[in-house]
Amino acid sequence: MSFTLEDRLAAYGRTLDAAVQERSIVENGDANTEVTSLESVRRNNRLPALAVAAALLAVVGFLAVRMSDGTKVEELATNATTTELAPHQVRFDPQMQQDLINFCTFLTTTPGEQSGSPFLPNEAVVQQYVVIPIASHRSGVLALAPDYVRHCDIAIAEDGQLEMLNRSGSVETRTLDRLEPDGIRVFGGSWGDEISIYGQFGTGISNISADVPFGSDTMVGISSGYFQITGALAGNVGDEPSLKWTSSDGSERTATITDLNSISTDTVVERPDSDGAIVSD
Amino acid sequence: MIEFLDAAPSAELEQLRARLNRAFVARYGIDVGPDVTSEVMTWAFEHQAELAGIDNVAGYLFRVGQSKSRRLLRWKGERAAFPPEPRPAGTGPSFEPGLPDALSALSEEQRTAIVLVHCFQWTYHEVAELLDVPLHTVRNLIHRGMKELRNELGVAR
Repeated sequence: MSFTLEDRLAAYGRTLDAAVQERSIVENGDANTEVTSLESVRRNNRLPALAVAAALLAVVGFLAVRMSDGTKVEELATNATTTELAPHQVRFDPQMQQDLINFCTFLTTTPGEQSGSPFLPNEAVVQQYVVIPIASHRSGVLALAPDYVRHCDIAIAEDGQLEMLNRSGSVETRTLDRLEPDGIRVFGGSWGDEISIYGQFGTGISNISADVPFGSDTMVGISSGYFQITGALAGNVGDEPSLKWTSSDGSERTATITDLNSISTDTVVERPDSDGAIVSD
Repeated sequence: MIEFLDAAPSAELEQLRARLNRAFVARYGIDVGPDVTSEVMTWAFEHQAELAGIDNVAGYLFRVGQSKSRRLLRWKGERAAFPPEPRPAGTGPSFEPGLPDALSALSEEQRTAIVLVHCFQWTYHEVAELLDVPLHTVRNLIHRGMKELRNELGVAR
């Protein structure tokens, strides 16, 4: 019995389908199963139900009113001498932080029986949220689960409206653990029209910045050992961004995103203590 | 027109997502394809007003996905990745270990047409509608693509 190329392709179609199915294993809640990407969760999107959309609109409207007095965002002086202070350091009040988390959560989780948007199989598996203030008009939010990290890049308009600029995520082991003092790693991100890169760094690292070819308005936000880099790209975007930082011995270090992406997570040494994140759920 | 604000995902919407997912897997491979689907479905939700007057929603969203894919391809690599075929017990004659790489080497258009038609059993008409090209263009894509695959794999038929 001989097989034609068409027969082989038909058989391979079943292999492809099976591979796609395997990528959805995270959605079934098996945290011990290895998957290649968190993005597999997104494959089985359930678009937000009307109730979720209505609740989201309510949150946005509430924020618009609450922010109108202009007192909720506090800009601090620039100070890059410690790892906890970014070049454009901003601090949000606790309520604002929670609002940012809620905004990210509404658009990235599936609350209960309702069909939600993609990204996280269930909010309950998120163990920690970290708000990364970048500027008065920009913030990141990380949702950290034991085996993956979800990221929201959020713009804050003058009238307080929140806008989701970018959402992404990746499967990572031990996202809640701390790195060794000079450890640094990138969880994910992208550089198209907008730059959005996020990751984690150890306590010995300071002065994190980014070298982005053809980039502008590059900003770095830092919070609780996690960082986010944002910016805009103009013109040719042939070269990938590089990260620069200062190690604990004072030496200047630099690496491309690809290099950082390939760094092994075996530099992880300990669980964070309770002050690790701004808000923990 | 598909209603995106249904209280629960409609069967029609789920079918659209599944079809787009296969199309994007065919075009961009197993790593990037599902991500593009996700981006596109999210975009569709956020831009449902724009979709209201469009007849060929799948074709429109497929083009949206082509735009969305650029960023993902930069991040995950330009080459479409396809899973290896599991070696069956006894390694029957249908086993073709070079097929994933040969598919990756095709042009995006050829690969999309061939995978959708021969792997996922779409009709030529359905592929033409998705790609927004005439039927004869799909025939040409498949004819030339299959010829390249045969050359690459060293098979006569």
